[in-house]
Amino acid sequence: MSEVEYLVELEPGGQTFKCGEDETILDGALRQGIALLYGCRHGRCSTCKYLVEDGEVDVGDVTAYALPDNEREAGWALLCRARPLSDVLIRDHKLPDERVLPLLTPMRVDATVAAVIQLTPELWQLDVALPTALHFYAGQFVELGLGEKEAVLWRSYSMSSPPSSSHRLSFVIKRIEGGAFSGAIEHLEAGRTIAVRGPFGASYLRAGSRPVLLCAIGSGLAPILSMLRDAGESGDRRAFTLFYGARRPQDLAYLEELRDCWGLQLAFVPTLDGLEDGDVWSGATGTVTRAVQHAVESARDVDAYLCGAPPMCETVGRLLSAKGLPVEQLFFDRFFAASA
Amino acid sequence: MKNADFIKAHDRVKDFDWKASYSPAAARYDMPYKIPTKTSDPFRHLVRDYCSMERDKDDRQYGAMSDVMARAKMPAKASERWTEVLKIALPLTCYAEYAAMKCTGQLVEAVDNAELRQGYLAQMIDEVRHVNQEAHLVRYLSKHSVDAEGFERGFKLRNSNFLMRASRACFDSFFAGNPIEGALNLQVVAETAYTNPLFVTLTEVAAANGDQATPTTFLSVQSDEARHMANGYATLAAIASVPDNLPRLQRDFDSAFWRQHTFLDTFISAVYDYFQENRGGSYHEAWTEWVDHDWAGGYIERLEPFGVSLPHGWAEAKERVKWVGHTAMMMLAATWPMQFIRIDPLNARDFDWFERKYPGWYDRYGKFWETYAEMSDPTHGQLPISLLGSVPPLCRVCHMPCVFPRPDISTLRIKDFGGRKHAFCSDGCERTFAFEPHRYAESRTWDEHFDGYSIAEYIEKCGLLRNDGKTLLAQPHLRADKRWTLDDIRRQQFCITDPLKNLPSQGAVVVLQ
Repeated sequence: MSEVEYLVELEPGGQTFKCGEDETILDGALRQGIALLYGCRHGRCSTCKYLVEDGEVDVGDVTAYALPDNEREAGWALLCRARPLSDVLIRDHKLPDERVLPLLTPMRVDATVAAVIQLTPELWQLDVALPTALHFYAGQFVELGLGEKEAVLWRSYSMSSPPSSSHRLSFVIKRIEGGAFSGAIEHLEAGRTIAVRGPFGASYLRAGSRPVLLCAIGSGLAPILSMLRDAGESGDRRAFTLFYGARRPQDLAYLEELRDCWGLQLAFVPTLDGLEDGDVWSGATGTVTRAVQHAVESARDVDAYLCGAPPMCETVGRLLSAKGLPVEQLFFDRFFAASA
Repeated sequence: MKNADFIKAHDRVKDFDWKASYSPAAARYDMPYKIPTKTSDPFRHLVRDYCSMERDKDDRQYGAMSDVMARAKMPAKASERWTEVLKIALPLTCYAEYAAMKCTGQLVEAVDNAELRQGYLAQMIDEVRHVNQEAHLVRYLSKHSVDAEGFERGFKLRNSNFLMRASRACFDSFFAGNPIEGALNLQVVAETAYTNPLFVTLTEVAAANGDQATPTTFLSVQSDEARHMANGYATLAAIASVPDNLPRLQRDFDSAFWRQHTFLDTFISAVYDYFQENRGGSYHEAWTEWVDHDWAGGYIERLEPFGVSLPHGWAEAKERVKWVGHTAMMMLAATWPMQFIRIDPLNARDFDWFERKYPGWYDRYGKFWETYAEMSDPTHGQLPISLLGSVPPLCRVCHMPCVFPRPDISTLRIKDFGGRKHAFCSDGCERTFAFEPHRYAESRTWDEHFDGYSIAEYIEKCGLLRNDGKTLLAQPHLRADKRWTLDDIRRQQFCITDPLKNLPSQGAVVVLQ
């Protein structure tokens, strides 16, 4: 903990917490159990954009896209990047989410690789064993760290295992050729140490009675699997619909489990948009966006969870909004490829 | 009222929405689209700033303009070349606002969706205000500018000036079809693609040319446009979210783009490039930034996953926009006695600028402008219309001369339909006609209307004379001497003849379903 600490106050709630000069305001808040809205934690998605009404902050390394100059000048900051330079007063203007669950304070543990299984040509399942329980909500993510001390390479991955499996976490990892982390997935040996910190993320499965609409592409299936497995364990009676997009039949993972559906009332719609000659497929074709456009008449009374590449989430989000989905019923974490 | 209260009040107004069980709603407009009953609300986050913003603007605008500007004699300091084109551009823009008001009125009534309706209602009020603001600007300039004669004519010449008629063909599309077609023309194309080059970049040109009044009005207008663009986006997204709508949507979108492009790109680029005196950027540069990059590259591409594509003819439009303004300006200058503004000849600096901004310009247009300058003296008694090899017919759909993009590569085609010949300036206009010929086939062009008039008779008929009763409103120069009179024109014996009568038809229009 740094020697210099500043006082951060949130208006209008009046909550206060201390934040070191060498940690971000978001990290300081989460460390002390204060819930603030955030998404990517890398200064890109703008979910954690708040107005600094008083005091000085270093806005840190953020793109002009995420925080345009005029907003910066007007006092806005991304709290996942901003560090305090004095005591600060922050305006909490975000609409309250009545279904938000108590914050689970992020922790850091050294875990070990338990298994590495290839699922499809691109997707791998990574299982990690933890010495202590890590509690999370279905749909949340952690950061996995490989490397030594100062040179740890952190990447965000959502759990595909349900929260009940608190000592053994599963992930779905898309292998990106040349990727510093995912590119090494097939060489990870069982027993190797891997750091875990978390949980993070606000797009976990909310309670409620509305039908649940789930959309996933690629490794975005992971948090959806966690939600469905969790819902299956708790005997959730809601109607679930899952649109799962991939390019070709061999790119679809966990098909059997999804078709067995854990006793849930689940309509499962895999849809493929890169079929090639000779592929055998009798299901839906086209993108997830097109499938939702055709199948969903009104989104007014659903809870929607979108997981996968940001362009798909943005587009389906806009589509559902045009179909009447209120913003407080839409959940997605904004992940970006970690190259920047 | 606190911000949050504004949003709550706004939400309450939306809840105040019902269907009458005792009387079915009368179908007042033809409505082929399905609108979801609940969609995203484009106005929700903007409502809090709306009232205070509008009040401040009215105060600032009218107070400042009437008092300070007139006392400081600002209109006299503005470039005369620039001020002249405002005599056409402002009444025309004002009519566009009026048409926009009609469009949003229709949307309020036709679209059964409280989220969208709130945005339309606010826009309708904006459009009423814009009509007033721009009419006030015309009034102000007609009181204070150096050569004020002509400012009051634009409103009266909507039917009898060929450019004004073409502008109506463009702006009437805001309300002449079904309301969604109007929204596509107005909000999705005209406002989202073209108001930035019109109200923002053109404003910079105005200011650089000493005109302080137009920027005050236009920037105030433009600050509403972002909200109107949001209306357009929410409307388009709502329509596109229902797959049944997609085929018709793309067709109407294609047609809306082409109808706006044929007039707006042509007109705005002529205004922009030919009436600057203190020269800056070109229209082509502004177009590339706002229309190509922002509109096509940002706004429309975001809808591609929904199944909405860039409009048919987009690639062609991109090529056409390099030349259409020059061609239009040549037509305007060639027919100057029938206009109501003074058109300044180009000087050596202008020639350099054009060749730099539009390489190849001199070879195609330079000679015309040199001769135009030579012909400006009435004692020589020559009209530049004689420089055109032939007068092109007018397009049945857009009512622009069929001479675009350039006379040497014109895409004119003449077709038969319903026992009548029709000229089309382009593939896009012919397609629009072929989808719904009944909407255009009976219309009359300016040529057909004034066929047989001598130029002098036309000038008298339309009242294109100054207060002395003999000097023309229009002049081919800005000088106070050597002005042309009706007698100078009478010596010309030039008659308006509808060129379509003598041109051969190339076959029948193929009607598309």
